[in-house]
Amino acid sequence: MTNSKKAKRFQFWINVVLILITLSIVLPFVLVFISSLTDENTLIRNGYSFFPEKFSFYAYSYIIRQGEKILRAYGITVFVTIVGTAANIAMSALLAYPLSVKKLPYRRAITFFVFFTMLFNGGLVPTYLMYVNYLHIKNTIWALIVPGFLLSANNVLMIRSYFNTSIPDALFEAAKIDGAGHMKIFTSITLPLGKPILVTMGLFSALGYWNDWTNGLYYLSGNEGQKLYSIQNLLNQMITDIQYLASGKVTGNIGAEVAKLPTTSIRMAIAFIAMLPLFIIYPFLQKYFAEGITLGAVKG
Amino acid sequence: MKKKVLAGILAATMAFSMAACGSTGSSSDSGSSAASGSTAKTEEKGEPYTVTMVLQGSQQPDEERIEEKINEILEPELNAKLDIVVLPWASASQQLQLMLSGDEKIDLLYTSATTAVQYMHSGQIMDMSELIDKYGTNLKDIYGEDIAKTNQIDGFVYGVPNQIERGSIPAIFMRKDLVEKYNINTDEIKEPKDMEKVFETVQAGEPDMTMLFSSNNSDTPLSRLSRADGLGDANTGALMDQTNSTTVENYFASDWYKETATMLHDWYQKGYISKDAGTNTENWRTVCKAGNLFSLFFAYHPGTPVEFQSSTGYEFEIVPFYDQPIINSSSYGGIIFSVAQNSENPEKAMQVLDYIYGSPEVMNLLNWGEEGTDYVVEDEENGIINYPDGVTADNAGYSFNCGWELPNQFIAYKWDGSDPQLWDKMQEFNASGIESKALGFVFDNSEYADQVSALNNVISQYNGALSSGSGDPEELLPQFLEALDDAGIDDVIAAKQEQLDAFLAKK
Amino acid sequence: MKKAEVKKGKKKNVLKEYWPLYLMMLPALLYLLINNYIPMAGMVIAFKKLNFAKGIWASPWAGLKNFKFLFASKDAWIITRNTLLYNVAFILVNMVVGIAIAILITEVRNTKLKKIYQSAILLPFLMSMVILSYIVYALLSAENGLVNNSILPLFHIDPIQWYQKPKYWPAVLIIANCWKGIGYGCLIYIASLIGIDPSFYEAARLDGASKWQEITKITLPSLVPTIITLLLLSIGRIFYSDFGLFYQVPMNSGVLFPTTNVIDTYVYRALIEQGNISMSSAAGVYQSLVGFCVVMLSNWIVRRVDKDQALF
Repeated sequence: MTNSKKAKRFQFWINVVLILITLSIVLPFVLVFISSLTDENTLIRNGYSFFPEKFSFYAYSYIIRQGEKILRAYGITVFVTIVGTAANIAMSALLAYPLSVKKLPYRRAITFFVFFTMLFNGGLVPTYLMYVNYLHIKNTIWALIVPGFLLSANNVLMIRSYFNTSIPDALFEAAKIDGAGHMKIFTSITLPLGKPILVTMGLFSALGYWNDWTNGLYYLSGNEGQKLYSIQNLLNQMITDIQYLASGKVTGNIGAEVAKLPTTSIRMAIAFIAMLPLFIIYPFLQKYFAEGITLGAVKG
Repeated sequence: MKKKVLAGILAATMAFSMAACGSTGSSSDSGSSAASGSTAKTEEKGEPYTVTMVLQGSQQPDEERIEEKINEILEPELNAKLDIVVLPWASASQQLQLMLSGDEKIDLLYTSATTAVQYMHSGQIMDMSELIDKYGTNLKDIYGEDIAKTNQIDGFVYGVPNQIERGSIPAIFMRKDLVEKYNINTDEIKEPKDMEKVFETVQAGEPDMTMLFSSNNSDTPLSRLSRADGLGDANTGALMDQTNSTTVENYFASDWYKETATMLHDWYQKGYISKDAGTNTENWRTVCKAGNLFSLFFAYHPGTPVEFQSSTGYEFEIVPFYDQPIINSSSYGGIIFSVAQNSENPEKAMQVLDYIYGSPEVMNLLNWGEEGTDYVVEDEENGIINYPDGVTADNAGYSFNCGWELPNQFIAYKWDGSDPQLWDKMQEFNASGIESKALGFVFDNSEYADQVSALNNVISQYNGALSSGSGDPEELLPQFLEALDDAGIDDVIAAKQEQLDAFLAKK
Repeated sequence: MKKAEVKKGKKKNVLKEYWPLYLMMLPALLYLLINNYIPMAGMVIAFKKLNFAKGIWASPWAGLKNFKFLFASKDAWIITRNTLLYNVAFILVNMVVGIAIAILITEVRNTKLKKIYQSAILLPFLMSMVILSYIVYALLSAENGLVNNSILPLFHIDPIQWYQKPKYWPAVLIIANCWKGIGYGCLIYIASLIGIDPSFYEAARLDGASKWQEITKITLPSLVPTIITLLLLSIGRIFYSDFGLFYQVPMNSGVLFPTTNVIDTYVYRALIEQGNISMSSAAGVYQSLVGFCVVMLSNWIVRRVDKDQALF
């Protein structure tokens, strides 16, 4: 009885701590959301606040007016994220598994080959030349998928380390005795048991694609490129355009119209809109986490 | 042994890929086959050459429609076409740098002297002097040969200036409603420090207002008051009295800098300047629109009164601190057009550029779009235009609206709400300017990259605080000057003086 | 990079047994070749006086001249110190906090709450540095900041000019970095914790072990491989820093440079006007080289202690 009482108290306290942590994470997001709904002049005068004097939906109505453009950009982001993440995870798992096979000849050398890419890089200009002059990906959808994000040595090595340590060697031995080949072991043991790490790394990869605007910045330009803008590229560009217009370099009455644009609250609204779909798919992702957990429990 | 083979292939690929950046790119992508050699003015026959012109701004949905209209003019005249590429504001400089590093086809690009000098040193743009000689008819008409070629280092002309205001006059801009409310006699304001009394009066009545706008980025009150000439870089060494003297001095060690910083800090402590000035990166217009800003130091030129009113919604009382603008190298180097090294046909590019300088039709098309569709003329006499019925800023197909960025806005229409005599006033203003003794000189700092990089860091560490008023000069200025010394400011000043003397001797 | 190819030329039986494995790795290795190794040759730019008219290879050599600006000024010591100390602090703080939160989350019985915590911890990943800088500003601004207006008065402390006082910034930046980045490590630790064989815990409970003993005797030791891998991976980046964190979050306030200027921000400010590709490339080579040496050394040490834990 005392034991279960103790356990209950323990549960109570860890929940208190975790709720506090969760609040410290969630509150800033609430602040961003409220700021995006705050009247611009109130924001400039009184700063950011959870309880603003005056609300305004102007920021959102301005963004929604862009309509179709936003939807297309969302579509492109979703496509890029799905394709990119799928390719990333497939390639990472396919690379990480052999690297976890301890007897593989040249394993160390190949691991080093992978790791080395984390330390050295040619820099932006040479990479750009490679992709634009030789692979001709400028102003194509591949520009958003291929450069940089398709494989991360960091993720590969994390996955390998997990394969190495969290999947008992005994399982492999048993499979080998049963006459299973590498492919069979990979698909029937490593993949299912490696699910927690694969889901985690896949999530990071997806977040990377979702949040990226650098590839669009480097490899998409002009009218042709703009059609392929991801949501981050589009929103980024909106922010800078507004800032620019507000800086007063346009003439006549157009300037007056622009003067009404709320720069600060739009920035917040834009940040919020970029994150919105992720809030929506979060429950879906959670299912995978839960699955990972049960699998882990069953395994032993 | 396979190692070696692979290494060999790798090296070869690399060598090939890197070497190829030097040669000018792939073939032109002008897809049109419309023969147009029939017009009398066309000198050469064959395919028209498409000139790619890189600009910055907001992407226009109907760009292609306007390009077609422009080509209807350019094809018969020059056997050329124009393809404009508009890069977004935020990423333009980075994208342009990459495009100029690769083998992409660019002919003309919009830039500034500071950046163009860098492009010049990296072999990314061409010397335009011969091109100006041969094809710069309109340019020479507008500026005269000297000014057309004024953006040069050692005879390498890296760009030609746009038609904009030349120089500006430091001035105080005060909200008119408040000036009237508190009966402020603007005749008594002769120099910046006379504002102290004004601030005192206004603040007494408006305790919640910020008296003077200040920020930590380039737009500080001190920089807005400066009349020094940095001779092409960040004020490491400057001519403090550029119309009379040619001695290069340490700008930050000057009495003027110290006095002004002290005055601003005093105002900061008295609450005339916001406590957040040291971190403020907000544009002053944003702050002004919110309604709690009384005044700011800014550069005056004939375009400012109307522009300020329309962008903030307030009318301003403007008191310039000097009578005339100063015209120096930076007056002609702020916005320039350069010819890219990647251009396959620089002659054609120059012809097209020069043609635009003299063509109101092309200028109007580039800036405002097509008459009837994108704008209608409201006032033929003064050249004032407005949107046609049913068109607004939201649904306009083409409204580039960055005349200052295009070669010659002075020959184009003005938007409704502009001063009807704007271009005349602008030309008059430009003509009234006094010339700096160093006009035409630009410092070449390429041999001093180490000092300049260290100085840039020192300057960004101290200058923001001092020139925004948030830092105490008593404490910071001595540290600042010592850090500048350590970073090698004397070397740079000496080099500047030497180059300037050599330039003056040649003149 | 050549070694990857050697695989083909080994003894027949090795090839026979392992060829599927090599085949599996091929797409990823090819990608690394294209995305990383071929452009890596571009590091030569750091040693050139770059002239695109001549091409990269034909540009004249500059020796080590492009590196000089990194060491020429008095700030060289400050930025190196700041970069190193911040990275060490970030690695340690994020590790300790990450492990602690991961353990707490896995101990939670209520699955609904557990999912909420797990998702919340990842949220900051979605926020860009610019937005984070606004949040920090909302807290610390001198006139309207939450801390100065609401929190400090509670304790009768005078308002603090946060953006003028360098001494507070190590703490501010470490907290901001932890807040933003904790999800990454935390999730990886959780994934590893899930992988621990539950029979260990059952056995411990039968022996009457306390919760604390379970954590120190079973949980932590099983995390060691993950910790070491994460550690080695982050050591390679020890000379790099998150530009946004050090540039945007302190609002580029010059007064704060003594505690906020790091190599990346220094290089940015040094070259912003000159846009010199060779010099920025030189900075990158220098940062990579130091990271490389530190990692090789750490990996060697780990290898001597426990061969299986080493990265390679």
